[in-house]
Amino acid sequence: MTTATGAPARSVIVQSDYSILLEVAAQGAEEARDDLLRFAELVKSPEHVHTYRLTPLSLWNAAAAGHNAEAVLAALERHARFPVPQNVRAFVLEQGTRYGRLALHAKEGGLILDVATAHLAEELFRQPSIRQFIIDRAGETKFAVQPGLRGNLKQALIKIGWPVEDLAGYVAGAPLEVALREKTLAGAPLELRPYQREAANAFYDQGSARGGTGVVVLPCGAGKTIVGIAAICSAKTRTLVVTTGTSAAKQWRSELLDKTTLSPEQVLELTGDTTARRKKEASPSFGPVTVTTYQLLSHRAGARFPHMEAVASGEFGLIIYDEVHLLPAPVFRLTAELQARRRLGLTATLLREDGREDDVFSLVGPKRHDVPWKVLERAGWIAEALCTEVRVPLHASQKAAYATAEKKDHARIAAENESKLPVLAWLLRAHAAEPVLVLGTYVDHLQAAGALVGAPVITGATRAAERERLYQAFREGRLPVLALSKVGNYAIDLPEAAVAVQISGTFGSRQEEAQRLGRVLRPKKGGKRARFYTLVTRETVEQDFAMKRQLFLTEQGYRYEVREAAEVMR
Amino acid sequence: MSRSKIVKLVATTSAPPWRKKGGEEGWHSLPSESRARILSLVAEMGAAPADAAPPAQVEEVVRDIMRAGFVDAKDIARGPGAVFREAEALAWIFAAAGLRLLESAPDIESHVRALFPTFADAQRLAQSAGSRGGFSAGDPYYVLATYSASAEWAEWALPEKKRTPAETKLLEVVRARGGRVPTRDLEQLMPGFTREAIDAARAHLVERLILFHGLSDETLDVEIGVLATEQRRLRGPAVEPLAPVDREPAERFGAPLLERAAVALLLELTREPAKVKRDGDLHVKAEQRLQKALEPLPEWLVALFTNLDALRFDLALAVLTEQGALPAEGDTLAPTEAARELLAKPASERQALLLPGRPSEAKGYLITGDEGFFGVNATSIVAKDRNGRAHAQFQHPTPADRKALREAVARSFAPLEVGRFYDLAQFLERAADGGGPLARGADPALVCATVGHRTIPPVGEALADASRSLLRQVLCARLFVSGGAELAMVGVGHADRLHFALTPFGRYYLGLDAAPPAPSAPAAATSRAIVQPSFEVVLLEATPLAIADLVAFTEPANAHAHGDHARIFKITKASVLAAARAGTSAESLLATLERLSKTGVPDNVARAIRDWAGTIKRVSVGSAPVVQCPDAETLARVASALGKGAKPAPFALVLDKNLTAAQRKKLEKLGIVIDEAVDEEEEDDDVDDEAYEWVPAGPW
Repeated sequence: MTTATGAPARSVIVQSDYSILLEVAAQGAEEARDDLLRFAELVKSPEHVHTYRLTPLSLWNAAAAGHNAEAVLAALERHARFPVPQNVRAFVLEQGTRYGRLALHAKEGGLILDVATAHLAEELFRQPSIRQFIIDRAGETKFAVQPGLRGNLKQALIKIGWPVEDLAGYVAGAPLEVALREKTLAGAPLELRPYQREAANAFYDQGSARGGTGVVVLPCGAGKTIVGIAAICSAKTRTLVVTTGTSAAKQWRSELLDKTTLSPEQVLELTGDTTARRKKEASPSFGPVTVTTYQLLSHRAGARFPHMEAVASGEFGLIIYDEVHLLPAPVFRLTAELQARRRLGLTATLLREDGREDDVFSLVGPKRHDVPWKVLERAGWIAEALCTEVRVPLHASQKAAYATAEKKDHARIAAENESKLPVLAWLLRAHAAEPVLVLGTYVDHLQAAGALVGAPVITGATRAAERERLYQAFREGRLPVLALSKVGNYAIDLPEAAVAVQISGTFGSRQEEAQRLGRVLRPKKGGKRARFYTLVTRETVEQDFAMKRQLFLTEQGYRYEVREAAEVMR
Repeated sequence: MSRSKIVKLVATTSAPPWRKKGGEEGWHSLPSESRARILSLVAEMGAAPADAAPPAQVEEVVRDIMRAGFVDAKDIARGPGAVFREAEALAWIFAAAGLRLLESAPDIESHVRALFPTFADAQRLAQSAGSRGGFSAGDPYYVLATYSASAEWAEWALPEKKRTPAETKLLEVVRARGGRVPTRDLEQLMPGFTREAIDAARAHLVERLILFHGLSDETLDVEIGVLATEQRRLRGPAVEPLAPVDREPAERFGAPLLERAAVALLLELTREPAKVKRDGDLHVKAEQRLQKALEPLPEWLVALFTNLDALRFDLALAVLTEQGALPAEGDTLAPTEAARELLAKPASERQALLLPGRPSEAKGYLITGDEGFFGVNATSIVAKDRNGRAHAQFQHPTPADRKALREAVARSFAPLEVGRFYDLAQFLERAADGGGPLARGADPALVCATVGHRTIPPVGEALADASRSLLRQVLCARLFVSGGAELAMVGVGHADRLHFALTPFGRYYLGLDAAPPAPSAPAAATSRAIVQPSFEVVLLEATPLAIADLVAFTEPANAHAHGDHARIFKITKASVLAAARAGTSAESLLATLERLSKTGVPDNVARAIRDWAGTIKRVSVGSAPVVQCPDAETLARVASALGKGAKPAPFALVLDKNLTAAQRKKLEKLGIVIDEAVDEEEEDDDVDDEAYEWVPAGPW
């Protein structure tokens, strides 16, 4: 079945294992991709055939966004080249109709779990994991449940396969006068990009009980912070922003001041740095907008989490979780207690290494908006990137050490290959006119690289003020090369970086690869392509780890080439 | 509670507890929904692994059985597991429901063994019946199971003059009511007899295999009655023609399983050939690997036919060898050139080629006699000895006899409409009328028949029973497996019953149609593959030949059901190394990918394949005298003294003992191939090689 141009007439193949293949060269592939994104998870998107997967979560997310099971099936049938397998139809009908059959409503200060049918109500009532939350039966299909355990109930329900639509509403929080500036502090015009506005609107949903919670998935460099800021300006309420580290918190604060009408006094940074200055207050005070870190929130004093307790009793109307896929277990517990506050999760990927995606769904909320990297790249919102793996032979002086080392030490010896340094120097010369980030995992090796190429090195030990100074110098072009250890993996806005050279990585971590690549994805002047080099020691375990990274990047649709060091330096 | 547990309970309990007041009355006091719930729970628990969590409805069922008085509150307090152990009475009911002795009685032999756990007891009854019936008692269990279906059995087993008035009346009541009566009605139907007398009569007639217990399909009431064969006699000849059902099946399945199994085996053997033992059998591990490659079947089918995997596997192996797609001899089982030709054919053509036998063909059966066609050895000879009766020694049918039996079997299926579902039990009942195909329309007394090498007694009922068994075997082990029939479970009363529908291919198999049906859609002539930079090969409209090309150096990326139009394979270091070890060069792998791919081979993939395949190095292991020297100087002196015959070896390692299996594996992983004929000891993995027997586990 092909068209006159030879392209297949329909682009989608639905498989009986619930995977969906999208042939990108086929007719109607763009339209099919837009439809698939609504109800299926994008698993990978290499050059020719993209793979999606139908899961209960993806179908519940779709239902939460108003795409019911019939609409999902209709879309599949519209795009599918072959009939949709019977088991897939049954799965969509079964799972796609689950969302909305349970709803939580507020009633006279209490909380009512409303169940669609008496049969289902009976089934839930018999589940010990659910029964513990039920105070009383309020009718054949209604239960009065414990308001304080709203999040735990939602978690328990999703564990037995029943997502609940939370319509119990939110506390207003202390009001906050805030709006987006028309121009940034530097005088540049400020306007949300269309997908940022769509994401913010999808989250807030005009203040209705159906909106107000959820996750926005955008690639690194696509401006997730702006979406968060737009959400604050819509909710106009006291807000807590939780970030992955001090640098990220500082950056959030500076973005808030740069792009909103908030004054410096209104945006409080509550991080390890600031609490140290205030001698670790037992009970911190909050500002109209408080920017803090996961680490600080998880700080324990004996059996207590004083900062979390303070947050729980604060008057926050909105909580923003930056990089929500990294949300640590103690903060999940806090989040379960904060179900009456609006919650926004921001991330580049819903994938969690610990597999707690369903907790994100039940406690933070369903996915509200998702735009794949390649779509933004084509639209010019993020830079096109070329990934190059450069194979470097192990330095002669290290060969004997590698051959006789224990297996556990192989990765480090390969990562710290001394022969990588001249290749790095050569690459820096080749990109002399562009701002370059050197990324590494092992600090000694990174320091050696920094010393060789004359670049300052930021590691975990670098003081926050010093880090900020170096970031600023890099942003302003005064510093052409900056070396970053793992601290640079997350939430640092360095829009000028055009080239990244990764001299070592954490084994085959896909998450790290995505974050590091994200550092160079900001659109470049003149539409210039970003370059992402990875130096890999040939014929060592590092080559195996590199294969995992290569797979990940090609699955995301990036062009990936493998070159020998000798070829590159020719 | 597992099925084996139930059978054990049946076998070790002296009398069914439902004859005591609590059990049977308790059961009858339950609404039929509760009874159905209990039975379904037991079936579910029986099918689940021992350590599985109890099903969700267990709480409700426990309440049901408590309400029925099978157990009391203190048992409940000990938990559901305890309740089920205590509720022995239930086990009897379940056993009766499982055995379905008032139906076609397929499990009567297990029932007989349960009732007569000691050989001597069974022998006593068999000899007593044999002396009255004039037949010689062989294996008493076989005699009892076979002859209890005959019209004369009741008189042989317990002569009328020896029966008590209650026993005479009970038999009269059962027969007057068409052969089965709910036990709750007996007191009303037998006025003047005490409950105790009725119970004693029941017990005695059951022990003599004259009456049997079971459950009503509609109400799940406990019933007592005669076997289905006698019920049919009581009702007179079947006059109603067999009609297809209109209800939608709860579950249905139909596919050319044999053809699919054959393709799956060829692909798996292409990926990795299997080692064959000296006696010609496959190694157990290889057999397990190959069986695992077969298409998984729906759970309800697996529960129904426990040996379907073994059947598919053995049959596919036999037909592939017959077709020359696999070698008949040698120590390695790997596809031949003929296999490629077979894989290149459209599926429907392959399906016809792989038939185990057709009635119109004079030869070509895989197994001696007609077993290839029937799925079981069966013969039928119409002849008589000088006394005018059939004789057990008539066991060598002529070609005419064989043809007549094949045609008689085919005729049984001839009236069925293609694509319509029929109740299997009803079909068998009607098809076996008058002795069925084994009788071949002759007087049963003149027929000497065998099924599964067992001689069938020359009585109408025994021939009918054997005919049912033969037809069931043809349907399930041949028509269904080769795509000639679909099976389905259709709700009848409270129970789902097995139904089947003939396909056009089924009619071709039986010889009722001369040509195989035309394929409904033309098969894709060629596959289109896309090689992705992420090392995946997506095969669109996958054909077996293209799959065979890929499996040799890729790994399947995920599980695929037959019917999926795309297949995904992953190129991995391990898969490329395996192909390279087998002697395939990187350029040859890339040429295959280039030929299949419509988008070329990405550079990073090509480079990785060359890199990986390039790591393969061959080394040789041999033995040679080694002169160990304490230092370099001594080495030089020794070398000089020994002259040309002694060579220092820069690329050799001296080992203090032979390479271990672990060391070999380690080298293989590194891409080092050892060029050496290694005498690996054959695994002592012989398993029970007994030919499988078709043992249906389901309610038919």
